[in-house]
Order: sequence, then C-alpha cells, then structure tokens
Amino acid sequence: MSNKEKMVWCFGAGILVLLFLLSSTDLIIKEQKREVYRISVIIADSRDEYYVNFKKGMDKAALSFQADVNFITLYAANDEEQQAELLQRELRDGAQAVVLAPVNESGMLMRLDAVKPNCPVILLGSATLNDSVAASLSVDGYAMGQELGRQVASRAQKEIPVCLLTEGLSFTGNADIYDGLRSVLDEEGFVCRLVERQGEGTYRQVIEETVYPGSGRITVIALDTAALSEAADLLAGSSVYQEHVAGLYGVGCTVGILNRLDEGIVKGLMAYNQFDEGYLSVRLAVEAIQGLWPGVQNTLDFHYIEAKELRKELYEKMLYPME
Amino acid sequence: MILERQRDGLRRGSIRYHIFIYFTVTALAASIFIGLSLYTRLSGLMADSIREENQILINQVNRSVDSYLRSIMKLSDSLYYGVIKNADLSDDGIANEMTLLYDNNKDNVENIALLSKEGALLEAVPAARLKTGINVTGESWFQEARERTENVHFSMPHVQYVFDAGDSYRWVVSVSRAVEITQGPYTDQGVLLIDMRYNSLEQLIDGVSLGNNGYVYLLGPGGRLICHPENQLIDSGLAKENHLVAAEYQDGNHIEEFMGRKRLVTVKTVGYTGWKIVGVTPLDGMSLNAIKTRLLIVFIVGFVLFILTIINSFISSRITGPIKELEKSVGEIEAGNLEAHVYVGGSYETRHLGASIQHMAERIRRLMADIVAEHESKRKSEFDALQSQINPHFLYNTLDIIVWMIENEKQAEAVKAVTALARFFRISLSKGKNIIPVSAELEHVRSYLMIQHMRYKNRFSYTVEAEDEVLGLCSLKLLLQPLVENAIYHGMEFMDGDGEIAVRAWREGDVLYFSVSDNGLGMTKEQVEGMFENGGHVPSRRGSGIGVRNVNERIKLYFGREYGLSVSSELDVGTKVTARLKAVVYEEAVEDESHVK
Amino acid sequence: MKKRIILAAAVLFVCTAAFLLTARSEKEGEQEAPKTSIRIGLLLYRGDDTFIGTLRSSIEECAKGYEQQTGIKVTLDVMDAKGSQNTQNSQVERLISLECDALCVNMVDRAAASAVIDKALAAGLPVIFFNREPVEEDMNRSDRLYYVGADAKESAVLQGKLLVDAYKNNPDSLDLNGDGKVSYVLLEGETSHQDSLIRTEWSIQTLKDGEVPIERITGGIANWERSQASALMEQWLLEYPGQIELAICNNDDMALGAIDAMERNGVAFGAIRLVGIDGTPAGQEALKAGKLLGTVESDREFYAKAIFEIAAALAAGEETGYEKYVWCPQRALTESNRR
Repeated sequence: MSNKEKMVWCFGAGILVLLFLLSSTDLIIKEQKREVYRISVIIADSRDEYYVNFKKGMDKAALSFQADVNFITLYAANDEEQQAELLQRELRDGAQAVVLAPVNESGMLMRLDAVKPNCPVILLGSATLNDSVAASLSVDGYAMGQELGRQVASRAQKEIPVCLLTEGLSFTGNADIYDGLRSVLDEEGFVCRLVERQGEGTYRQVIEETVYPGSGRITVIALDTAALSEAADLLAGSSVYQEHVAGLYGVGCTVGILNRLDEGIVKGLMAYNQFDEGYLSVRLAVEAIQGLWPGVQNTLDFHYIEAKELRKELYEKMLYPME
Repeated sequence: MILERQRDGLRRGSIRYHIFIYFTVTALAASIFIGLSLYTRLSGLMADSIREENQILINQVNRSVDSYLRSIMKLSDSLYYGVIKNADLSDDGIANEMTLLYDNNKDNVENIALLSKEGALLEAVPAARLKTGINVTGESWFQEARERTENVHFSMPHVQYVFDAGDSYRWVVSVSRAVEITQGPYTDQGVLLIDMRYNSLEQLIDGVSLGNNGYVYLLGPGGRLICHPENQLIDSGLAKENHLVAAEYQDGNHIEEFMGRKRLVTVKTVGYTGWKIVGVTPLDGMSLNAIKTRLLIVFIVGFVLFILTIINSFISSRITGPIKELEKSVGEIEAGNLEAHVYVGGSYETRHLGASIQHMAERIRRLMADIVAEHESKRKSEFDALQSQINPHFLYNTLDIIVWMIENEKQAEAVKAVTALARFFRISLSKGKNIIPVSAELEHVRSYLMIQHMRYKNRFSYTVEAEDEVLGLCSLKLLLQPLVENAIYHGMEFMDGDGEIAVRAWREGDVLYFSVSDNGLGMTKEQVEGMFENGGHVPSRRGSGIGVRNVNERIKLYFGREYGLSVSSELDVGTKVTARLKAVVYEEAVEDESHVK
Repeated sequence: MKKRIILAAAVLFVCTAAFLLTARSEKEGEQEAPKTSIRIGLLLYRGDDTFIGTLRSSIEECAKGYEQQTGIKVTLDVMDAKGSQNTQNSQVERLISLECDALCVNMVDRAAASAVIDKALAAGLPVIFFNREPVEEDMNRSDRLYYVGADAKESAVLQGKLLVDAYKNNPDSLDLNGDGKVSYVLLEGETSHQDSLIRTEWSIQTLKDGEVPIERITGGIANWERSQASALMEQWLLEYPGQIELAICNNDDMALGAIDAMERNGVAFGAIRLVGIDGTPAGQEALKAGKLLGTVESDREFYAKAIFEIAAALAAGEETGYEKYVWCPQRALTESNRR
C-alpha cells in the first residue's frame, strides 16, 4: 500500500465520518431547537386592570413565539424607585428581554444609560430610541391629544370650561396627550384646567365642586385610563353628577368604560389596539433576543370611538379582543 | 484527450487496477441507483400520505363542525317544536323547559332568548335582561330571521350587545329563527335566539394541527373569516391570510403560493351553512429535514461504496498479489538470473504457472549446462585429437627403425619408411581439417600399417580394400588408425605371423561403412563394453593415443548420434570393429567444423 | 497486513468517537439549583366572578409580600378559564410546560378534577384546590392535594342566624307588611356548585330552626352572576309586586344584582331586605349604604394566605403546616358590626 493510497483511504474515511455527522446527528446542522425565551414585562401600575387586552395579545404572542412571559406589577402604583429595582432584579435573574412601561420616561432612560442592561429593553408608551433601548412601542400621544381635542371641540360648547383629569402629568405619555389637547383646545378658545390626582377623592371633589357651589357645568376630559374609569364610575353612580357634567371624554377603553360609553355617560373616547400592543411588544422582544435588533419606534394607530360605532364590526375586534 | 489517456492507462494497467475499477464502477452505479430510487419513491409516498392525511383530518373536522352545528339546530328545533309552539305564554312560563334544554347544552350555549317581533324579551335562559334603550329589531340576526322565516340563520361571530352582561363580554355566533308565539288567543311572530359560544367552535378548529405547522380555519359566506388561529391579528393587519382566494376554491386539494411559501390547501364545505373548512399545510417547511435526508442517502451510498471498495481491494490483492510476485520472479529470470527463486503461491492457476516456470527454468539451466558440457567435451576431444596428431612415441619408434634401416643399408626400405611417415603425418595434420576424403584416410591407415608392418616384422599381414565409389565420400580424420592400432596391440600380441588385419570401406545406401577386423585374441563382452566407457581405456602410448571411445564420440559428433562404432568380438577368433558414417560426398560437403550435413 | 489492521482500527476508532460525541450531546446534565424563585399557577374558573376576583387580588398581594419578605422571586401565572373546563385543562397543560412549581386550581367543573390531578401528579406538582371542591375520592389520591375553602354550611348558618337575630330583635324589620310571614325569594348559585345547595338548604333550615315564619314566593338560579340575578329580580318585581319582603341570595353579587333591579324599577331602599354571602368590597359598600341587610364575610386574607402559603411552601420543596382541608373562618356582617 503506497503512501498515496493510504492518504486516499484516510480521505475517504474522513468524508464518510463528515457525512455521517451531517446527516444523522445534530452536531453540525442543528435542528431548530425550540428554545423558550424568557421575557419579563414590567408595568407602572400595581394591578393589571387596564392591561387585560394587552395581556391577551401578550399571551397569544407567547404561544406563537415560544416565549415564557412574566407579567410583573409594582407593589405600589407609579413607584419609580420600585420599578427600577424590579428591572434590576429581572436583569439579574436572567431575563432575556424586558418590556418596560416606564413610570417616568426620562428618569428611566437615564437609569438605563447608567446601568447598561445586558439584554434588550423594549419601552412601552414612549417613543424614544436609545442605545440601550432595542425598540419602543407607543401611540403618538401628541397626535392623539390633538385628535381628541378636535373631536371635543366639535361637540362641546366653548363656554363650558374644560377640566382635564390625570393621574399625573409626569407619568409617561400623559404630558404628550396634554400638550396635544391643549394645543387644539386653546386654539379653539376653550378654557382649560388641569387637575392631577392628589389622593383618593380628587376627582370626586372636582365634580362635586360643580354641584355644590352650583357653578354650572363642566366638560371633563380624562387623560389616562384610570382617570377615565374613575370619572365614569363617579358619574354612573349619581344622576346629579351626570347633569352637571356636560360631557365626559377621555383616553382609554376597558369593558367598563365601553359600557358607560354605550349608556351615554361617556361621550367619546380615544382607543388604540391594546391586543396588538401586547402582541407586538413580545414579538419585538423575541426579535431582539434573536439578534435582529429592531431598532424601531413602532407607533400604534388610535381611533376616536363613539357609542354608535360600538356595534360596528370595524372596531369590534379591537375593543373586544377574542381570546 | 484525457479519456484516451485513461483508456490507454486502463489497457496497460495491472489486473488489480482493472478489477478495482470495474468493481468500483459497478458498486457505485448499483448504490446510486438504489439510493435514488428509494429516495424518490419515499418522498413521493410522503407527499401523497400528507395529502391523504390532510384530507382525512379535514373530513373529520368537517364531521365535528357539522355535528356541532346540527346539535345547535336540533336544540333550536326542540325549543321551538317541543316547547314554544305548544305553550301559551300568557299562562305558564316556559322557563323551566328552556332551563332544562339550556342546562344540557351549557357548554356550548351562552344564551337562549325568545323575543317578540317588536323586540321585547319574552323569556331568557339563563336569566338576562336587555340593556336599557336597546333596539333589538335593528340587529342583523333578528332581521334575517324575520325575513326568511323558514330557515335557521347562523350569524358571523360578534360580541353580544343586547343583553346586560356587566363588565364582561362574550363572543358568540347567533343562531336565530322565526317562531310562532301563542299568547292567549293570539298568535304572533317572534324570534328565537340561541347564542352559540364562539369558544366551542374555536376549540373544534384550534385543536387540529395538520403536519408541518399546518392549521385549519373556518370561512363564512363572502370569504369572511369565522374562525382562525390568528383571527385577531389578521383583523389588525399584523398577520395575513389568503382567505379571499380560498373562498373561491372548490372542495378538494389545491396548491397555492402565498407570501413566498408554497402551501397545500384543502377545502371542504360544511352542509347547510355553506361555511368552508380550510386546511393549510406549508409544503416547504420540510427543507431542513430534506437536506438531512438527502445527506443521509449520500452517506449511505458513500459508506456502502467505501466498504465495497475495501473488500474489493482486499480481494483483488489476494488474487493479484501472487501474480505480481510471479511476474517479479519472471522479470528476474528474464534479466538473466536463472538461479532466481520462482514464487509459487496464490490460486491454483498461479501456482501451476509458477511451478511450470520453475521447471522450465530448470530445464533451461540443464540444457545450457548440457551445451556447455558438450562444448567442453568437444574441445577436449579435439584437443586430444590435436594432441594425437603428433604422437612423439610413434615418431621416436619409427625414426628408430629408420635409423636402423639406414645403418643396415636397407636404403630402399628406409626411403619407404620415411615416405610413409611423412605421408602419415601430413594426413594426420590435413591442414587442421577434421573431415577428409575417404581416400586420404585410407592412405593414412596404409601408411600406418606399412610402418607398423616394418616394425613388427612379419608378425601380421594386412589388406586395405575399398570400393571406388566411396573414395570421394567424407571421412573423419584419424578414424581408422586408432582402430588398427587397437587391433595390432591387442589382437596381434600373441600372434606369430598368422595375424591378419583387414580394413575395408564400402557403402550401403546412405551409409558409409568402415571395418577393421583382425583374427586376434578377441575380447570378452565386458572388455567390449569397457572400450566405450569413460576412462576405461588408457590412451595408448604406442599408437596415436586416441582411444576407440574418442573415435566413436567424434563420429557421433560430426555425423550424428545414429552413426558410430560397433564392435563384435569372439575370444580367440577375432574382433571386428565397424564404423558407420553418413555417406556424404566430399566436395559438396560444407565443412562445418561441428557438423557434417 | 499489519498496516491494514492499523488502518481498520483507525477507521473504527473515528466512527466510535463520532458516535459517542453524539450520545454525549444528547444527554443533558440535570443541575440542581437552589430555589431562588418559585412559580405558581393560579387557575380561576371565571375571572369576572367578583369573589374570585377579590381573592385573586389578595393572593397577588400575598405574593408581593412574600417576595419582599423572603427575597424569593414569585412568579404568579393567572389564567382565566372563562367557564370552560376544556380551556382550563389546556391551561393546566400550558402551566406544566412552563415549569410551574405548584398549581392553585379553582375548578370549572368540580367533577372533572381527576384530569387535572392526573396531569399535575404526573409532573410531580402539588395542587391546591380552592373555592370549588373536588370529591373526596379525587382529593384522597395523593397527599400533595389540598383544598382551601369556606365551609358552606357554616356560611349559610351564619346567614340564617343574622336573619334570625334581626327577626328576634324586631320582627317588623323582616316582616314588612305585617302579615306574620316573611315572604322571600331565593337567588341560587350554579347548580353544579357544592355551595349553592348547602347554602340554600341550611339558610332556610336555620331560619326554620330559629322559628322565623318564612314563606317562599319563588326562586331562581342566577349562577352567581349579578346580571342574571338582576334580570330575575326584575321579572319577579313585575310578577309579584309588593309581595317580596326578603331576598335570600347565595352570594353578594347576586344580591347586588337584585339591588340593581330594585333601583331600576324604583323600589325604595328597605322595601325589600337582602342578604348575601361573601363580603366582597362591593357588598360591604352596599352594606354601608344600607342597601344590603347583611352578609357573611370569609376572612379573605386568611383565605388567600392559606392558598398562597401552602403553594409557596410546597413549591420551595418544604413542608407546610396546613392540613389537607383548610376552612376559613367566617363571620356575619351587618350594618352594626361591619368593619
């Protein structure tokens, strides 16, 4: 057996082993192993009341993309420090991506820059993009505020003062809506007053003021879901209030608010597809984990909904998502 | 060009190479053929079985959806014919019967409600009330039931608004029909509404998974989606489905391409409602597996080939190894080394070849040895003959006689002796030739006899007789003289003048005969045989010194083995030595020193 | 010849090595890590059931408290079966596949508990049933099965007792029209729920034992739901105007629904007495407002704590001090003794 022959034999054997490894084992060509992605979602609230549709979208995405989504609420609502702590904890515990609805946008961004998280972070409700932020998902607050302002302006009377209720202007997203609203309302000549929640009875007091001193009527616009929900419940509970409030408008839709819309207590609201929000947030997170850095600012569409549109098929799936 | 080179190489290649190539090509062709045919067969089977399976699954789904719809319709029928038709609503409530039917179908039914044609709620199970201010007659399911009173109508999925449900909502499919209501003496039209749970329908569809990430969805009239795993996402635009096209398909299998992927779409229409069940199976998702499968086939082909090649190489070595060895041995022999060891081994034929070559080599060696020996003896004989051409003893003795004769003034005899001696030696030399005419040979022996006669005064008498025709034939030089010498010294020893030596030469056909006969002592048989033997006879000092054996050998050497000497002898009677030679005319003979033709 | 043997050996060696490598890559080493986080699945039969909803919030608060206390991260996966046992079964499977450490299950169909138990036991998970009780045979299948609930009989007896007390105090508070009989309507919960039957039975029995002269006008099944109760009550108000004096409801939601119907139809406060069971926040508000006469409150904190602590202990691999059946303490609430 000459040397050349020996080499040929060895070469042949080598090729065979390679083919075997390629075809029958997972060493070289890896079958797509179903990896489960660990994603944590941290919101700014202490309960998930306003996130029902969001969670539905989130669960659907979790099923589709093989993700294990951990939905985390704060111990106390809108606690910035706590949120940062939880973020740290999740990063430490090995979350592969974090979806964050920051309490305070700028503060959170500063923290993120300082911490430099080792996994992608998706921001909800904010439109900024940063080195540390993989993607952001939000509604264009300013435009939404403007649209709401326009709708209100076309329906309400200019003489009636407008009262703007909010949980807190510094909370993510509210400032933009406020600015948008004010820009249109001021232009139209409405008198506006901002009320931020100080405690349990802030909103009630505002509405009481219209009754008690008997100063007439107000138009109430709620800037966030919590405010709208509470205001709607307040009005539903008392017909007196209903008389004094010329119209209740706002941002946000829960089933309760939609029922009020149907009953006529709420005149109109701005809604966006929260199911999509939940779905997209998980999808963006999965894409970021897989290395396709989305780097995008996704904006969701918003719609103005009135009672007569509730029956239409157009918004049915958005307002009442299927499981 | 290359092919020609290969072909040349093939032709000139060794057996091993040949066997190797042919065997390998065959093995390769066979394994490729087997591999390819299996692969195509199997993948064809797989594609067919997927299609069949899909069809079966879709049929099953169709049956379940069908039976589900039927059960709802039966419920509607039971409610109408069993409960509502015969009841007088002003008397007794039908709530209990309705509750019974509801409880049996609780899993699938959300609400059952009976409404008047103005839209007032007459009965509802479970207990429900209409929302304040709602106008039921505006609902599409209500209107459809009122328009087509003979049918049961299935609506598209929707959220049920008309009832007060608190802070929850339910997706339902409304099944409505027109009914006749009896209230007291009046009968009137009404609508029976059964709200079918959307979840139950969804569960029928969702649980089905077709192979390879396939799924099933339900299509309603006009191509609108009823049930789809991604219903919500399609509505908001995050996902896409080709349902509008699928609505056009007939029942059966279709291949379509959507968003860059090939899919198998199986369609089956559900009875009564006209809904379509659509099963979608992506066809390309098997790519990774197919690559691996193909590689596996290649691996198997390669492996089989490898093993076969090893075996083939082994076998061919076993066969061609010995042949190679044999070839090497032959090469050595060819190169001149006759002593080379010939390899004998391997298969029967090879061994036989080896053994034969070995024998042949031996024979060649022997023949060559024989030739060498022959040459040697010839040289020896010739040397002997050469040497004998001038025998000093004979010369001395003869010169002695001549001196005596001269001293005794027998000049005439001295002249005769000298002349004979000269003649004797001249013919002995014959210029170095070995073949001389018979006449010369006879002359030679006459001279000898004359001289010997003079020496051994009247001890014997002699005659030399020859026919005329033989004188021109070829004879061997120094043929007769040694015989005569023998006759003289062995036969004539004890004769006193009575000895007779006769030399005769005659021809018979192609054979030339010489004979030397004497009437001397004779020889025993052993002595006769001893004359021809090796070294059995001491060269005589008195004569030429060449023995009878030498003569015999030279005759054989020059004329052929069939010629030669023969002796017949009888004790006390006499001896006759006969020489047989080929009769060849002297002038015509080409004197080839080694042979006379 | 020798060279051939060496070559064959080399080829064999390479093949064996490849084979072993693949075998090794398939085997996954199982690591034992100390528990720094536990995962608990919470499966509800219907999320919009008010009592269940409040229980869920309490459990979530317990979880948060536990997290802060022990530093062990608690992941609570809440799933709503929306009244479908099939959905709940697939939710159980999903939670098992997400590697939960313990399951807290509120069965949709209490007769179908064995399917859930099978799956959970096969995966080695403990199950804590609550509020809807599986049958004893199913519960006894393993000692890793627990049940936390409020004793239905006790709650019914308490409900009855507060009515008896009210009557004893002042018969006119119940017998509003003074005809010597307390006419009542009955709003019952789901037919398949063990509590409905017991509560109904023992409420009435306690009243009888307390020698309150009761007369049943009618009753209906409202499936624990406010809207259904509201619809039924509305019908009855039309059917039996002025006759109804008392509405005995198996739970607070149904009582509230009856109140809704009364308000809609302009029935004055106090014209009909209502009692419920649960002590939900909404119920307590109605109590405060005087719309509800009384209710029976189960110690929701205890309830949630029991469920959570058993689950957390078993999930962390420790023992729990609770018994197999945990009954929550209950007390009657009336306007006078509400918190």
